[in-house]
Amino acid sequence: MDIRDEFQVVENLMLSSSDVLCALDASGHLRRVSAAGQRVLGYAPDELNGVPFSTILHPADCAQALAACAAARRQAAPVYFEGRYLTKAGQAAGLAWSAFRWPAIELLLCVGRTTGARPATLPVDASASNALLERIADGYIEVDKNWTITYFNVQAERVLQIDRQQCVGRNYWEAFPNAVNSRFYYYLHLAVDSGQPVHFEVLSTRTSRWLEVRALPVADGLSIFLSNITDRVTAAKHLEQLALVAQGTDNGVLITDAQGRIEWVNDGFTKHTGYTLADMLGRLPGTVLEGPDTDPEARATILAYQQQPEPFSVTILHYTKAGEKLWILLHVTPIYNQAGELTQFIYIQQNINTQKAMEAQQARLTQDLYEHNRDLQQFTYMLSHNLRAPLANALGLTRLLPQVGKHSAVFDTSLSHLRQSLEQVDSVLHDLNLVLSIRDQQHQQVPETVRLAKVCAQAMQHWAPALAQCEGHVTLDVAADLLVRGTRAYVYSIFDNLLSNALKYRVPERPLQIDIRCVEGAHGGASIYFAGLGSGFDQAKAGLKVFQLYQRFHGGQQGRGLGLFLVKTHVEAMGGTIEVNSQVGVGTRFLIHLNQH
Amino acid sequence: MLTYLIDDDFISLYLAEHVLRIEDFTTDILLFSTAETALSSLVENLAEQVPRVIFLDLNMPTMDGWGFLQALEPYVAALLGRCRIYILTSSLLPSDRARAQEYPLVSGMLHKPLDAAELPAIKALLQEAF
Repeated sequence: MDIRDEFQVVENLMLSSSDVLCALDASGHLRRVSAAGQRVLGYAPDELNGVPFSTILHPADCAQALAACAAARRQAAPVYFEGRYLTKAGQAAGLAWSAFRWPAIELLLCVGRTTGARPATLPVDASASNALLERIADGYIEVDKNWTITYFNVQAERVLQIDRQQCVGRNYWEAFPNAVNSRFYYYLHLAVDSGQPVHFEVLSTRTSRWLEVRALPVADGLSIFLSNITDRVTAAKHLEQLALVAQGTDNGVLITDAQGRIEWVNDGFTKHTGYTLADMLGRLPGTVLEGPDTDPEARATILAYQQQPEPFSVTILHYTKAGEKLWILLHVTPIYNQAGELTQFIYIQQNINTQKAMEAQQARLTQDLYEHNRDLQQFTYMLSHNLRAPLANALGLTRLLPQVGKHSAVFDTSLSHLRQSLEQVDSVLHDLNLVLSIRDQQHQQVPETVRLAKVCAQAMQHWAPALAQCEGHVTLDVAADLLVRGTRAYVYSIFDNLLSNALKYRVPERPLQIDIRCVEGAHGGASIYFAGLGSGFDQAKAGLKVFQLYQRFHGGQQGRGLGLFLVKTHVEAMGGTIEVNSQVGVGTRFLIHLNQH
Repeated sequence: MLTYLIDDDFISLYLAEHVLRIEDFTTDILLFSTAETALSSLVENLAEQVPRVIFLDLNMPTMDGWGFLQALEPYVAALLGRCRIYILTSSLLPSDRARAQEYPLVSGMLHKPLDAAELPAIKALLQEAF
């Protein structure tokens, strides 16, 4: 190698080496720092040119380092020392240094390695430049113009898994016949023919290793730097393959690092959730995708499974960017590198909204069937008692009538009773029709915005004469702006029936007192309190029958047992709930919740 | 022959009363529009005069026919052989008939309207037991 080539080699090393490699001039100033060194130290390219070596050394280690450099200048053998480097940001880390004198170009080269990595054993007779070439982390090969291998360092032996004694002095393409006409062959020839450096990645078929290669043309041949990048390429290939599969599927795929931070998402993910890679990059999937109704147990399950090395699947509720619910069957696969370290998680999201919707529909169908069944039972009861009772009376009366004198009092009374009985039959048929029509309309009603205060006032107006007659007093506390989502006619019917009941079941001995209070509910919507001081009923005895059709809990009065059935039916048709609390002799209180407008 | 009629439906009471009278079943009839009043009357007169027969409606508010039968449980021993109960209902439910058989005081189940044709047989049974 002539001097120009030696400069070239140093130059190549500065570009290719993965070490912190510094070239110092005679005055101890930095002439060049390797690209890797600049990155580690946090400086821009060329920013370090011309500054004293001490700039990048920890102040406490400076004296020792400079003494070692001075010693290296005086002798042929390398000098080893330990010293912490100092980054531009002021961070320090220990390095094991070796300093070599490179006589031909009057530079001192200092190679810094992370503490712990032992220096490679050096050939005893190595020249200074060779000593350096032996110490760099990369494989290094030199060939002359005839492709005869003139130099082969110890790292190249490792990377290519071959004894250099079999190579040095041989034609490169004879030593590595597999490489003939390969990518490797093409690029090296390109470098020689063009006189330009080349940089490429290649799969060595002989060793099954991926190599990163930099080749620089020099005066008498080619300098070739090699490093084994199999791990990186394999990981990248794996991801690429996965990404390819992921892009092809409709599933959402996201890849996180070992800490769970998102590195990549596929188009399917964006399609399902509305979030792009830019939205997700660096974030934890759960913090973005989970929402108020996500089961905390599912979340805990994922965290627990992530500590395990096996893949797992979890059903979880996610939310799209637009805030819509998205049921997901999540398959999570942890990815480990060859060293057995966790490097990534791959999440595959299967959209199971359709399945969940079907489950919900099935539950709704079951509920519908249950309700139909319950209604059928009530109709049977209705037909058995409430329709048949007046019919039986009418039948009995028609048998009685021929047996009594036409001009007797019994005849007249019986005839009047007959008419009443038939009227009862008629009203039961009306009720039946009403109940059936409510059921039918229930699913067709378009919800409207109902102003409670207004509807309540209308119902009050209807009952005002009756209230005045019994000296009833109503305390009304309804916020004027309270709106609910429902059907105006139903809300009217609720107030109407409750007022009717309060009047019907009042205690004659004391004035009627009704309290109506409508307030905004704790979770939106409205809460309606309706309290009537009246006779009340025995709640323990009435149980669940309170709201059933034709159930009556008071003797003597004219109730048909329809009012509370209608109230409950209407409340539920609007998606609300109703509770009742009654005490005999005290009165009855209703609590109704209606949905938010 | 003292007879109680218990029914909240006044037309039904009226009808039953007149059928019993026209068919010469009895003239000694007491009408009750609630089971509670019938119960207290029965208990008050338990020692002296209990009705020979009670026609009991099932579907009534507050205390229904079943509630009345339940309330009679403590007096079953005192009443057996002295008083028979016939359920008189508009119900056609088979489950009601099955349930009625659980009560020893209940001798039968009649469907409304009270059928004059059934009365002679009931009367014969009641007299036989005397």
